[in-house]
Amino acid sequence: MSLLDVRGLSVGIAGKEELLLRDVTLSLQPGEIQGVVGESGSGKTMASLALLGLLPPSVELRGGTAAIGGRTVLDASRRGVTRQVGDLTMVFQNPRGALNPTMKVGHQVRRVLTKVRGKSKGEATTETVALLRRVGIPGAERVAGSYPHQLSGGMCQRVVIAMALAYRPRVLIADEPTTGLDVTVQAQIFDLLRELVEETNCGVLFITHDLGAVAEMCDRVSVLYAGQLMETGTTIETFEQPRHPYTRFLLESLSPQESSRLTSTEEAGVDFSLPGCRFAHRCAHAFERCSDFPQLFQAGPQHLYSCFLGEEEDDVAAQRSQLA
Amino acid sequence: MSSPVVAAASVSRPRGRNAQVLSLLRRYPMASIGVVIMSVYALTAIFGPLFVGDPLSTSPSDALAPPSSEHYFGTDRFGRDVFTRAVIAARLDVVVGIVIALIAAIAGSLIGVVAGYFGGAFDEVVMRVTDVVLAFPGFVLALILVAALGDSIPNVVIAVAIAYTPYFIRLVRARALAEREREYVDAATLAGNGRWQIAFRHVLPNSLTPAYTQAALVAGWAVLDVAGLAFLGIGIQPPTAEWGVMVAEGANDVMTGAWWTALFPGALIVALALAFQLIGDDLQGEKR
Amino acid sequence: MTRYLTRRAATTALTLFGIVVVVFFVVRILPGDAAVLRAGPYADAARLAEVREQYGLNDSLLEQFWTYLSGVIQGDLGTSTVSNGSVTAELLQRLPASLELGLYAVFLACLIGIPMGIVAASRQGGWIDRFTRAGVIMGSSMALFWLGLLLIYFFYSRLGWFPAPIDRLPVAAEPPPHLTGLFTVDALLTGQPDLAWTAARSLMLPVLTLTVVLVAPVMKMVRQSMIETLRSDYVRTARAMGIKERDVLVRDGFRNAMLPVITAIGIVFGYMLGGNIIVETLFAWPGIGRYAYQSIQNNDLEALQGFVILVGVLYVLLNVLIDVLYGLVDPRIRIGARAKS
Repeated sequence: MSLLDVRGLSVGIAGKEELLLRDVTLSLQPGEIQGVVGESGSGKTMASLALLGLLPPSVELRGGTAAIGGRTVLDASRRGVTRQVGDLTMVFQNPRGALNPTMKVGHQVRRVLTKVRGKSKGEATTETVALLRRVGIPGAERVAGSYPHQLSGGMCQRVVIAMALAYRPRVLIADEPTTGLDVTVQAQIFDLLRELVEETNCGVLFITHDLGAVAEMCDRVSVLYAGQLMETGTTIETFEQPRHPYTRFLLESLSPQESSRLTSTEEAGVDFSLPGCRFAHRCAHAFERCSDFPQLFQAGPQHLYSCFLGEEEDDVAAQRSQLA
Repeated sequence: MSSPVVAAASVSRPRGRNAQVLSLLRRYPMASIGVVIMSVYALTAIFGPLFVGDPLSTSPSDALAPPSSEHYFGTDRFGRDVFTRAVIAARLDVVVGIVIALIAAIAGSLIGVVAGYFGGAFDEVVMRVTDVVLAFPGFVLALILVAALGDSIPNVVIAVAIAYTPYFIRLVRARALAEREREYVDAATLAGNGRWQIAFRHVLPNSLTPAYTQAALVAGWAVLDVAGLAFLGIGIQPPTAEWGVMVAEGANDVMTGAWWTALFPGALIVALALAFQLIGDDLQGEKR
Repeated sequence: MTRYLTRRAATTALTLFGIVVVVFFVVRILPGDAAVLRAGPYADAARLAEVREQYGLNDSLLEQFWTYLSGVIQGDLGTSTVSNGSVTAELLQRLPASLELGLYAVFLACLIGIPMGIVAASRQGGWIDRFTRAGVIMGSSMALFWLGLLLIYFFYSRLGWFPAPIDRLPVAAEPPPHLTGLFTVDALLTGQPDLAWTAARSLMLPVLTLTVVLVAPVMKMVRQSMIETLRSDYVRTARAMGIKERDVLVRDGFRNAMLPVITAIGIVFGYMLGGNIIVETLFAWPGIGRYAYQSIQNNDLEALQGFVILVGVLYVLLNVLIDVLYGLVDPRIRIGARAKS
């Protein structure tokens, strides 16, 4: 059984028909790091916020369920989001902004321990320093007494990760955790995340648009475009035998250095109200069936994709084999 | 879950003129109310004087008559018809509010764009001067200016406009500073446009958006300030038909029970200020 | 921090100087014989010459300015043309009355406006939010003199709930001994709760009038600041880490939203200093606002000039005080950045 199981997740802007996320399905195993890639505006962050129950007021849940370790944490038709302590949490991009500017960073970690995990003050103080040390902060006792503006961006991100550790999540969502950090610091944060997964056996959804980082870090990868899951599979399968035209487009046209310059979905002019495949308007292989919404097709035991083209190809292949 | 059929239908809905008006109403509900109120004031200001008599004609025998079918708003202590005076005053109060906002907005925008775009010593001087002007509460500054310049309608307009100009200078300057860094400015420079040309043709129009909504709010405050000054006996003087003057003239009679002498003109001031606030506040909300 | 303070002190000094310059020259825009103004229209040439000599009116305008400026620096705001008394003394004598009125109004505006703004922001679109937004618009379009008049008519003339809108105490009452100058406080300090209540009853209507207008900007600015704070990344992080909503609102939201609100309260003080002219006039309240009104009526520009300078100086100093407070509350200013990137 999967650790995290998301089915048919849909969200839309309140008062409008258009769906920002449509029928998104994800699954994550314990100890797995799964990349979630897509252009900005593809719904990566929106999906994470939906799972956390932190959608902005103008966005509403339209459908879907999610379960962690078999227990429902999100049910759009009934109770909404019912996340419990230790289920999942998230590390955001822009680590400086993610910390309260008027609170010492040690206190920000400690209050997760006291207010959320119910530890006593003394216990929490000791554990805070241990956690800060664990995420590789030199001079943890001193840093605990600092304010965020006194720390570098990399240090701030380590503090946020320490807060996440204090929460002891079974699933951690890391949303572009290294954007804006130096390359060497990026590598350190990646290493840290990998170590933490090994130690705690939690699952990580690693949101990024850096395909290089995905290749290096992730066991599996899910590709989103305009709120639609395009393809999901092991990193090797997906990158070596992509089944969706969009995945191919991503891999062919962009070297890792360029991937941060992906056009955003808004610039690409996606019409979120159209019922069909959302990549159709940019797809070189689009044909009449693409005006319907493609369900997920199976290409391997763990390899799914959302495109009619594959089915046609499979049919053609089947016909050929019959003819032969 | 939404059905795709409904989604498609809602997009292909015909968008006639009525539909456009409706969608504007829905987007700016408060501003729409403000515009309706403003239209009533505008019509009164333009056509009202054709339908009422002389605002200064007194009739001591009718003094302090309560509202009736003959005198809709009653009469004041000189027996002047309050309704007539209130209608006549509409032109003055509405125009004064708008003119003050316009003067402050235009002067402030021009100074602001030059300060923001060119920077340097001029900018430094402008900022220090606005510091000084903003060190006075606007009403107090307007008060001493009118007291020094002497009582007259143009003097009040200038005094209140000066008090509000720094707001526009700061607003437009901040925008011009940001606009200066934008690509189109580089493009215009490369195309061989002079600095002044860029400042006024390119940067200024792009820096004006916050000034529009601010102007609506300022027009509302200006109406209140002018009336407040008139109430204190500065600027616009009796027996001019002006709402603030009318409230001041009626103040003593209110204490003895003739509430209508001050209630109606005061309510007209508040409703006019409200209309400006509704428009300004709704448009300002759009920024967020 | 030191450099910041030095710069702040320099700009403050410059602004204070600017205030005196502006007021001094604005008052002298119109060419007129100041001696005639002082001595009265029927004074003969000898009397006029005497007055010119006495008040230094024979000096050039610039010399007069320097004389006035050096006086202001020593706390001398000149001499009233009507009473011939010291403007500084007359203003200081009236200042406590204005402070008592203004402080209660600002305090009440904060007491109502801050919680309303916070609740409105945390439940955006809810009924408290709608009510708050409506209140902001109504308050910002309210004409003080009209509102005050209606309140007097209704609560004094019709219902008789409050004493006559004249002075700080009814004629029969004896003011408390001067300690702070605030009658309610002084009466309590000297153990006269009845007198404090009498003073409070006289205060209620003017304070209420001023509060209605002051509460609008407080609510507006608290709401806006709180909305921005609640949208911040750190509030999202705190929520993601499972911190309870009430803690998020108080410790992440309110605490950080308060920084701009402190500035807002300074602005509200400015409104109060302007608005109290109208309210004091309407309620015959013997403060500096009514002094300004009377000096306008008497064409006493010297006194008016003193009032405006006092208001400007009070306002600037208050803003300096707010900056210092800001520094105490905000660690980014208190400690200063030493981060690399």
